[in-house]
Amino acid sequence: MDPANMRFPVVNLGSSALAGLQDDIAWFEANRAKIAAQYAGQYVVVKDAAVHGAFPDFQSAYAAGVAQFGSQPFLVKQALAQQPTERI
Amino acid sequence: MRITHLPALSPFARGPFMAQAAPSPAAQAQDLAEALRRDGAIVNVQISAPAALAAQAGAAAKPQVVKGLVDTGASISTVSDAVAQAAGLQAVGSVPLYGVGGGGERPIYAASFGLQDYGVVVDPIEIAGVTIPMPGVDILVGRDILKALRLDYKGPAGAFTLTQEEGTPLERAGAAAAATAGEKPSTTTWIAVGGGLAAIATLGALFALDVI
Repeated sequence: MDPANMRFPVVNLGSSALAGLQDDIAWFEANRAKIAAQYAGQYVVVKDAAVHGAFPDFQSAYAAGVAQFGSQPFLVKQALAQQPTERI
Repeated sequence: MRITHLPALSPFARGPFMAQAAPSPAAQAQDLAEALRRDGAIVNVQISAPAALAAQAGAAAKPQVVKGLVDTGASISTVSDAVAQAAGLQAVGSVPLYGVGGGGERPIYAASFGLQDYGVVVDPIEIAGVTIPMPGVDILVGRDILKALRLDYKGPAGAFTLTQEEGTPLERAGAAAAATAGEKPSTTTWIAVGGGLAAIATLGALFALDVI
């Protein structure tokens, strides 16, 4: 792909930002189907290979995650059977 | 509340020997239209760690005020990795993110996102970290924000208008927000820096008409 044709080339530089989340991301993906079935559409807080709560929106899930874990890394994901993609 | 933004005129838009001559209204409009085409719809964005994190972790807020490009082609708002780091944003996930030419897995940060000139603050919001290859632009204001705003893009006039309408999910910052009726918005500081007095007077008139 010619970079000159890219409107906003997306460069994979986020690995460092995700360093503390990789294990939980992998766990979530491995268990996505089960989590989606159990918490359909809700936002779940995940840390150390466990779900620590399910909430109706990102705002409340994030607030709960901060209350439990402070600035430690934790994952907030919407419980969907498939990961939506975003476009820029 | 409605604020019309007019992009800055380039100081290089006309030759040095023409600098003393007041441009005609038609030329001014052409300059503004070209500036908006070239630069896009630029707004001031304040981004910082969410208030919940600052309160819980006792972390000092490091708000960053940067330029954001209003981008109807972006399904999610994005922030440059450098600004995300400077603001102390917390990564809370990742998302597959695709541009015209490619894509990859990108971090999702939790952030407090404010359009200062509109009194709009969303806290927290999910915002994707990316590399934005545009000098001076560190944020793309995507459709996740625009879904609660009205955007009027006036190409021939070189102006655009964002309006926050009633009943939207965005939270207002309160009565102290900038740009109330009859008050000249702070964004005038970056308007028409290359224009003459006549141009400024014209722009002032446009503001008076469009800020309601």
